[in-house]
Amino acid sequence: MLVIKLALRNLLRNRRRTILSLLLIAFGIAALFLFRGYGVDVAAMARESAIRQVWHLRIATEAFWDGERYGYDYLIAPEVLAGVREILAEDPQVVSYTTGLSLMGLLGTEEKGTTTFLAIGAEPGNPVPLPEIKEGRPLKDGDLGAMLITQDLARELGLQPGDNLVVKARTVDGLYHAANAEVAGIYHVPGLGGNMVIAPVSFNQMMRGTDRISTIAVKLADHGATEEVALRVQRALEENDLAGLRVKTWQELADFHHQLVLFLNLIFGFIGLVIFVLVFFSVLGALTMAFFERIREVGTVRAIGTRRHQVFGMFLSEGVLLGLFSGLLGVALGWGIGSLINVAGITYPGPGGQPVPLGIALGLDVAWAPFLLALVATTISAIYPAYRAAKLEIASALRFV
Amino acid sequence: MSKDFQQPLLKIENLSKDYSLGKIVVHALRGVNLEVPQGDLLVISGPSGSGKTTLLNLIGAIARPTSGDVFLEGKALSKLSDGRLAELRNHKIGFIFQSFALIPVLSVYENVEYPLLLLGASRKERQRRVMDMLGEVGLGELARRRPNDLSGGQHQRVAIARALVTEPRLVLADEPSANLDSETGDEIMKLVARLNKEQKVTFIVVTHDPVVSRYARRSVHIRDGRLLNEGVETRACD
Repeated sequence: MLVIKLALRNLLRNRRRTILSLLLIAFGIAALFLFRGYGVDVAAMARESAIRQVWHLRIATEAFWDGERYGYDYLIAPEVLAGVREILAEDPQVVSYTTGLSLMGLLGTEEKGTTTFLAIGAEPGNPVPLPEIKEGRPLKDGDLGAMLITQDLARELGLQPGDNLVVKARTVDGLYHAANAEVAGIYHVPGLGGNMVIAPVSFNQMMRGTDRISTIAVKLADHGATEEVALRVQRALEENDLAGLRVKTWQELADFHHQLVLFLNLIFGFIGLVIFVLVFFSVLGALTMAFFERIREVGTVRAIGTRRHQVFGMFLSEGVLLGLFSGLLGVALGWGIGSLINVAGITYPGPGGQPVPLGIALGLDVAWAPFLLALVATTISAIYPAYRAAKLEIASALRFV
Repeated sequence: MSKDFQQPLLKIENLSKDYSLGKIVVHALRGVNLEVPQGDLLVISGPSGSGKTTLLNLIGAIARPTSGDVFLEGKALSKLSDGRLAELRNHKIGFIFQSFALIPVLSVYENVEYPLLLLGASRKERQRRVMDMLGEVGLGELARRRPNDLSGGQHQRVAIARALVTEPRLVLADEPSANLDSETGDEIMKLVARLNKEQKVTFIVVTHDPVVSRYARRSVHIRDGRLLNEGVETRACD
């Protein structure tokens, strides 16, 4: 208590210097907090986008994951799918699951020409990714020859909801198959564009001449349980002789998200390092000055029985307290500015010119790292003056003018 | 000679201290021998640079001798570790400095309380002893003031209270009246003499002011690092 009391009083002794140091550190910490809040928000948006597109888990055969996508072997047969359904139905974390089968080929009309497409096969009542319908209607159960097309494709071929199409594709056996389809709606999914089409999985099965599917997408109640459920489902698959299937998490599939988080962490680390160095040298300067001003005082307190480690503790505590106060002030400042930014509703142009809201994530998970940086930087910078004060010879310190 | 003088509290044997200033060696103390009995008020006088502060620093265990030793209650200070010396200074030795050396960020009360905190005294005990001591030096009313609000004489009274609050066996005073006007200096020395008489605390005072010697039970003179009349001049002090 004595050490803390003295440290606090000594910080207040030269108020102007302490306030300047405090403000300098607090602004640095606020900037770091804001950048981290922005990074967390961007990463969360990317995560949401990735999960919207692939859901939390994907189950497919080893051959599918290895890219050997020919013949029937890489597809999941109906009896295997039934086994997977039983496993998923028993897991309390599983909210929903849906099957998929993709299809590649040509589509178009006689008047407007043809183009290549890639059709994501989705269950109409439970599609993944969940599209935002811009025109027309979503897919519904019982739809067979209905499709959702992108705005790009609609523009390219001059298509509107209700227009008819001819779709040509190869079956699993390598034969060509043509069928009529209808544009049910025009959709938008962030990150998906061009010639990506969403069709009922039953349509894709019909076009490919199979009753099998390629993937099962699984949605969970809690993001945080992804790894744990993946392991649990994988174990259950193996125990039920479904070892040919492998579970992958959205993190494994969404490489963009992984790269983005890595990039943001790198920038955060760099800014953190710059702020650490600034804080370190400013506090080192302030505390070294305080040390020179108090050499005689150190001599006095040592003469009346204060031990070296207690003197060390006094100076170190000043650094710790400075870090504590400036860290708290910086976080509060950053939190306040972040709240204002969130309320202001500022946007910036994202991919495809879509306005993306500038958001700052606020929370203790954002605050701890900048706060810790302030505390660690000020504490480390106090070590040298604290060491010098503790090593002072009493008689020399008392003579110091 | 009174009964108090029977038991030597402090014994100095052949004490020397050299300082190196580059290639030059300065002999600050040259083989000093001295005995100080319990209850003494010894004044060590001498001109500037004579070695009196060096002698006081060695007695107070805030510097180490080049040779010889200081024995406090029979214990050789050279044998003690840094930590044990700090403990000894806190428990058994009080310091009064020429420049008062109060801690400016602490109040009068807190300055006097400081050595008791190091000692680990309870809150109640600290309160009792600090207020008693401040009453003793006549500053009970100024307990909450900061040193900046005090006069020079009041500063030195606080320093005396701080030196005595742990009830040390020995109090070392380095030119306690040098920064005070003669009247205040005289008051401070009267206070020292009264505390020596009433509380039986042993004082060693170094000074270059011959007036201070009036208050001594014994006085010795130091010049060029040597005591000129080791432990012989004794006078009645009341």
